[in-house]
Amino acid sequence: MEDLHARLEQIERELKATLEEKKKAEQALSSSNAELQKEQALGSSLIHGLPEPALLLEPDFRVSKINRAFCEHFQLSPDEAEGKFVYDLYEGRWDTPQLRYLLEEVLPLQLSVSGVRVRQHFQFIGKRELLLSAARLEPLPLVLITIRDITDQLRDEQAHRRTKDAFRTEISDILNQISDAAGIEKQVSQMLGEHLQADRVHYAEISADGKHSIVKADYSHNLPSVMGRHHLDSYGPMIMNELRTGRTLVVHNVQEDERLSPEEKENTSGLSIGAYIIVPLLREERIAAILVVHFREAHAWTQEEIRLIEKVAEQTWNAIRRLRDEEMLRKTQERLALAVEAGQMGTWELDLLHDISSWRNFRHDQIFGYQQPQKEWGAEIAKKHILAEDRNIFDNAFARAMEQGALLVEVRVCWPDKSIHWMKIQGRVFFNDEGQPVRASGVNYDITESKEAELLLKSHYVQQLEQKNKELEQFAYIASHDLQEPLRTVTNFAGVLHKQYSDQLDGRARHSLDFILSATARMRELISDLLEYSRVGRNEEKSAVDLSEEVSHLLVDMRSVMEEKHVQLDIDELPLVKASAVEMRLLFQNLITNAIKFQPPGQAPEIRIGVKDAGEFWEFSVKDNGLGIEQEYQQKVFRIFQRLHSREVFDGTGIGLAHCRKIVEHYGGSIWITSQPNKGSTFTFTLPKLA
Amino acid sequence: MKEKLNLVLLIDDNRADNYFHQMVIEDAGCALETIAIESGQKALDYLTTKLESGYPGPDLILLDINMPRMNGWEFLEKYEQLDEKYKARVVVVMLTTSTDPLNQRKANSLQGVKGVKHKPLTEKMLLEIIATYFPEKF
Repeated sequence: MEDLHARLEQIERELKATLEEKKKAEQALSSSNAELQKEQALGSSLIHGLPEPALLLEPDFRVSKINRAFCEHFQLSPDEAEGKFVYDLYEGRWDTPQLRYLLEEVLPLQLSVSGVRVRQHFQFIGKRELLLSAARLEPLPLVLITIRDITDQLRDEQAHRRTKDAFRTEISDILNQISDAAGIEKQVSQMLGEHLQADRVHYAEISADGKHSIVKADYSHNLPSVMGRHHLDSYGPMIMNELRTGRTLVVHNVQEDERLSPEEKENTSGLSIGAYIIVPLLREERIAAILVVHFREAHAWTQEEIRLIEKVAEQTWNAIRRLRDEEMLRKTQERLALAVEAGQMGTWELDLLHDISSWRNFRHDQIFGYQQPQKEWGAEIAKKHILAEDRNIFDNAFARAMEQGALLVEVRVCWPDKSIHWMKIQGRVFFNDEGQPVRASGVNYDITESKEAELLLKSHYVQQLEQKNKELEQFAYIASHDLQEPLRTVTNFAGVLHKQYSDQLDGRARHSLDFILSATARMRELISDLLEYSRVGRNEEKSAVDLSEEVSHLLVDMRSVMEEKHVQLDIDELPLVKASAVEMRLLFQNLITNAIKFQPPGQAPEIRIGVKDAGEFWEFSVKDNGLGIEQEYQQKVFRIFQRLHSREVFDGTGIGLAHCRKIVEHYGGSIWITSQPNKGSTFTFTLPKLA
Repeated sequence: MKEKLNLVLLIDDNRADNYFHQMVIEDAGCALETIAIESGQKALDYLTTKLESGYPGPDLILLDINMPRMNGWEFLEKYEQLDEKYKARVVVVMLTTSTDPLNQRKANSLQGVKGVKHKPLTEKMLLEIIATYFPEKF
């Protein structure tokens, strides 16, 4: 276009010169035909010098002259054109609205006009795209039209655009079809390399520590492959700094690029790289990946190439990211499905505004007793399946969920076959911005087995056990109570024999009587212990008991034995607990008595009573310096009537520690012993803190 | 009764029972000597201690099961490991309760135990034991 303009200007200049000549000629010559012919000859000589097709028109739009280029291009001889109306050329093909507009509307108003585009089908040369320029050659009554045929140029451009589009389409196809990152990188590298005729293209991921680039796939043509792991320091500081800004680094000529240090230049050209582009991908302000294109020789990158590379890089990374997201989603879904499957869970989703189940798995419907997925479902339909007695529970749980968001309920379902099944529903309610519940989703599962086991346990075994325990206690109580009476009789009459008839008896009889008397005394002890033992827990009167106070009362009672045995007692400040005062006293009494009793002969007992915080419990300890107990007997000591020593050595029925255990366990605590022979024992027990 | 047993060992923590059983054995006149020991450990010590006339080596042990610390079963475990020279010819387990079949079975399963009887020992019981296990002396 520009050169056409220039040419027109030149023509104008020439014309002006001509006009001056003409004026001189006018002065010399009178106006005549000869002069006119001279002028026309002037015009025709002008257009014959033009390389483009051109024609001169008379004021009435008859063709005055066509040049050689016109003849050749449009395959017309001067005879066929000259003297004809321009609109009639080519059987009226030149009669186009654009040409008429140009000649009849525009040109009368302005001296010249250019760049009018005309598309026309011509007889010999086919369909053409033409660019017309026109100028009035004043003062000559002639119009010059020059024509530029841009058909081929346009076709080239289109072809070019088409390959670019094709390339982009192919890239998109690869990104959509290949489902692994390395595969995508390899294919895209190759396509990009071939398209740009580059010598090497590769993607690299940057390791998490930011120190290495990992190349999993590359395209290499004239340069060796760079697959593997590379230290980022090898890229050079300038390159890394530039990439950290997130901008594409474009180097046209490694040798002449002033940004590169001599070292970087040497390194890069040592790798036979003459020009390159690196596109970085930044994520959370660090480089996550790069795309690199290398040329062996210097290469003047065009804007189009740079944009293309950037675009491809962006598309690739988006696709890879999408793949990874999808992969992660798929894995999560798989895990979820596995959990749902393993848990035999039904899953459901409910549109609360319309009470329509928007989604359920088949298992959900199976739990309601269906062997085929149900078409219609909702809370109201579900409710109809719930046993009438349990519908209230269901309603209440649902109403609560609408307020609080969490749904958890166990109800019985009546299956179509009339069998009853326990079901647990667990879910979450979602609210809109106005706080209105709109959607709920969750799981349901059949808990019939566990529920039945639970109920069985509750109803049957536990009750039976509790019953047995009660009976046993009752038995122990009654038995011991009723045994006292005949025992008393034996004791009384043995006492009579001993008191009144002793002197009449021989040795063996007296000895026998002694055995009877000591046995009855012991039996009295046993029975009263048994009675006491069976009473633990019967005394339901619990109050806040100040243990320090109870123990100090107890020590007053025990003063005589404490003094007799020279007992040293060290005791912590004890807390308050909720218990029966009598039982607490018995507990401490038994433990202190034990500590005093089981001592080597002649040793003064040292006892330490401590307490420490153990969360919800207090942990008490009663430590002594006594005989201690071997490991193998430590569990036995808490059994009722279990003795470790013969009565001749240590007196007692063997009920004391059993009693302690029963008391402690009655309050939900536990008791144990740590001990070593001859190094003393520590009895530790826990009692719950005051609420 | 051709010949008396040399030594009967009673192992029982209950002194009254020991005294009573000793009376029964004495009245039956079937043993030269009766020794009562009140714990399993002491009995083991006694069996393995050499006296002037050698190891005691009783003809018959009557063993109580229900004893504090080392009970009768635990005694038997240790007794089984003793060298033969310390052991008695016959061990009879004496049970306090007559109703627990578990103890009866357990006693029957032990090799060293010849018989199971229930307390209290009677003269009739004693003579049966001798007739069964010491026929040459009966």
